Amino acid sequence: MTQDSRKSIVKLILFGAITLLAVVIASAMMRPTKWFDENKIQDRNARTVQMMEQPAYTIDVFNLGDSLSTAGFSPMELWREQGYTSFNIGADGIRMQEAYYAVVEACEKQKPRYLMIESLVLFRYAMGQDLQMTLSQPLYHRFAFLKYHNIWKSLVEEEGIMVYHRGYTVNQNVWEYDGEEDYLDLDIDDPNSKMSVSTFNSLVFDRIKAFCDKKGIQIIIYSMPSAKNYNQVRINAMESFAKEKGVTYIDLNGKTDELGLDWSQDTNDGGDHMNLNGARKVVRYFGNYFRNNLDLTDHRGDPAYSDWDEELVEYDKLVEEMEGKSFLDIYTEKKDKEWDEKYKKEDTTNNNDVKK
Amino acid sequence: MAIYTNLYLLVFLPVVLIVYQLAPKKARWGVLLAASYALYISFSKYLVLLLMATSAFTWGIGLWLDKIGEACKAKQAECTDRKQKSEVKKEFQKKRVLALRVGVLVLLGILFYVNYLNFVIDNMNIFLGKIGTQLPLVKVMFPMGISFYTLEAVGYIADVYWERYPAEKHLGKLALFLSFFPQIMEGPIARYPDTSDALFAGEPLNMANLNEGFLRIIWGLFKKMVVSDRLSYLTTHLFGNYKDYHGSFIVLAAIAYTIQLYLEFSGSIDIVIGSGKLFGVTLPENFNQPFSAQSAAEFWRRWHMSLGNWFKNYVFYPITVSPMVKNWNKTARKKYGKYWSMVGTSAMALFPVWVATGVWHGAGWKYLFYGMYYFVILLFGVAMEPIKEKNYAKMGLDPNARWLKILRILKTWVIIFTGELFFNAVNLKAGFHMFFSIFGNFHISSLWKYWPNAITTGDVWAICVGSVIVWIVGFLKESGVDVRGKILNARTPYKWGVYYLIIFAILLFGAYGTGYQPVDLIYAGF
Repeated sequence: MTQDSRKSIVKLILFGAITLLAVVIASAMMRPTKWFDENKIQDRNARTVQMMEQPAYTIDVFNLGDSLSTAGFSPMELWREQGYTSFNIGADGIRMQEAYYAVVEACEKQKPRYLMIESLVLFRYAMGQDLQMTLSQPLYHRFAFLKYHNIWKSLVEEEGIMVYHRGYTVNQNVWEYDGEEDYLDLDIDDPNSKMSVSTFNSLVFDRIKAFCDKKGIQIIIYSMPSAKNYNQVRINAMESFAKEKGVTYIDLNGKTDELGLDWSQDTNDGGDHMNLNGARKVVRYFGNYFRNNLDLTDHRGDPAYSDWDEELVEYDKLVEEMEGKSFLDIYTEKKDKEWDEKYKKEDTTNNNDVKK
Repeated sequence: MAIYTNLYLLVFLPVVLIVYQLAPKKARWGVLLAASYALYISFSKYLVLLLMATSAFTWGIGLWLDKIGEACKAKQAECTDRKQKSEVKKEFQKKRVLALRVGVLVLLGILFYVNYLNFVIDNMNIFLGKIGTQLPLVKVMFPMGISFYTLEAVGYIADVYWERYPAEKHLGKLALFLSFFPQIMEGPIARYPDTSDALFAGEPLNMANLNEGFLRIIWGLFKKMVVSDRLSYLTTHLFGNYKDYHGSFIVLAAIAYTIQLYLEFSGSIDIVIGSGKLFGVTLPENFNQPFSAQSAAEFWRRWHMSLGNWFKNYVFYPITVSPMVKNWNKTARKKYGKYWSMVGTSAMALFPVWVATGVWHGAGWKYLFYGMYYFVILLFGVAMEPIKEKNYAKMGLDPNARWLKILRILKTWVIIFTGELFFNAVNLKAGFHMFFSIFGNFHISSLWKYWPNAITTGDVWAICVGSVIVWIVGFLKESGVDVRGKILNARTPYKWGVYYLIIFAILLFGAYGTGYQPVDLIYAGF
């Protein structure tokens, strides 16, 4: 090796080391709760930032999964019903690698008794995307700077559109499901949806389970009622998967009568996700299930948990204010109102506009 | 594994670089070929066989042409007089034309089958439906990069036919030229002598190339991830919901999409050229500050230059010197005069170029319209040129006056934005709908009132600041300042300072992360 080559290699290593050091320093400084207005932090960061702020060791149940899980499970309703503390640690379109790190990060300050996993995440698999995530998720986990890089937006945004209550966002929109009642007998019309759990996802699940076993967390897999995402093939696949892994499995699609689910009222997007009505029914079911089958403590009346009562008041107030509207509806109405006040005169000439 | 992903940038590229450097010099081309096929398989799986077959076929046609040429020379050597020689040449020329036709027709036939057959069937079915019959559509898998490597292969066969260079004897060398991994997705479309020697030379990695390649790659990522990908939220929303918008929003959609397309395409070409440079391979440039162009014709000499050059070399020039055009020129000059002869010649040469340019981008009436749009504008430009010059002289205007240049640039922008509006519209009907809705109820204030939630204030800030930085660098380059050269020749602390600035701008302001759906490369779909 020539002297020039040696010099080049040293330069490359030095450059890489400085880059790494800078990312480490930036990550240490990137404390979302310290530097940024948490109300303006949106999307999946909002849940993780709120999770960081929970008092240590106060959450009994984590609810993990994609948008089916976060739309159909309201921790405030569970608190009202049974006094158990829970938190939605999932996110829209979550994949198994992200799910693993969501559990690991949520457990940094918490030691929940149970981890509920909504099963749709286990069916989501695409080799290219999952390979990318296998590489990126450990980096996001190690370096907060990369994970929260978008958080700077909260410095320039006027306000956040969504309000999060322990990882849940209220959605009272009603869009009836008008398909077959026996949707479990139908095919799922989505070329990307898998009907069995891929080996890759099974391996990541094993990793989550090993982590939970070590922490003494019991896993419960469940399938949220969703006419668009479940059929009997998937339910059967999940039953045998749970059996193989030695975990409890609860299918709510086969219990819609028991839940009292009304597909004309309880879904916000035609049978895909639950709305608040549906979420209340799901939570009621789980509340009873937890009380009858699990070893959890009712924290209502415990001064250490008074923040839950305070938040419940805020939550109920928001539900009342929203009157069946979505956050986006409210945001748009607010913007329109502001505009009308600001430019009333100008607007009167254009108020016949139908288009934007 | 797209070239902007972490899998490519942090795993694939470094691994290939290390294996390339460790391999013996003679085997390095093999490393590049294996890497190229591996990357191709990650997209198109078994369709790599089509790429391999295309390479072998192109190589075979080249050898066939060479063999005919050699046989012709051998037979000519036996001839005693000129007439005999000429007859032999004629005889062999027929064979050469046959080889050329077979080569070009097979290559373009595959491209037609993959890209255009269903479009033709769809349109035939409109008429056939009236007599109660329908042709079934063909199930076709799209082989990544077929529009790019087919043009390179056709160019190679044509050049060998024209004896611009001899046919390549080494199949691997030609296969590597057609499949080189950075450029297979989006070009640039190279000519064989542009890259073949450097690809095959197996020169060791060196710091100068690594620096240049690295700077080019991070600059490309900055353009794509900070500006273009954020703009795609807005353009996807506006073009997807075009019926809900009109006036100022349609103008915004056209401008935003043009910026998005430019920064995405030029950004990914920066990554491509940078990747090539790491291995010491200089790929042809594809952009040269296209928004400084003062006419549509100049714009196309600065935008997607490798495609423009290909059409110029393999369609425009051959047509210009074809007997049909020559005959027209002769006759028209006598009958209608020099001016109309020139306009007619331009029309005959430009028409096929712009039909081909339009449909090269995709099978759809909007793409054909896009080609015809530029054909009409360019032909109008040719026709107006002498009149314009006369008018300048008549009015006593200096055509090089700064204000006139600015006016011409602005006029060119309007042409470009309008073209891209049709290019990205859902279909041609939607394109016209959007275009005409510009003129109905145009209110700038609508932008504030109905600003879509698809794009946040933060995104707008990132887009604006990022675009200004790119514009400043482009402006300096246009003014003759070699920004890249200055950075590369600066002392290490300054050079690294720039690297870190770009890297941290990407890491902080780039559109990436969990839950973010990466934006596919637009030109990779063509």
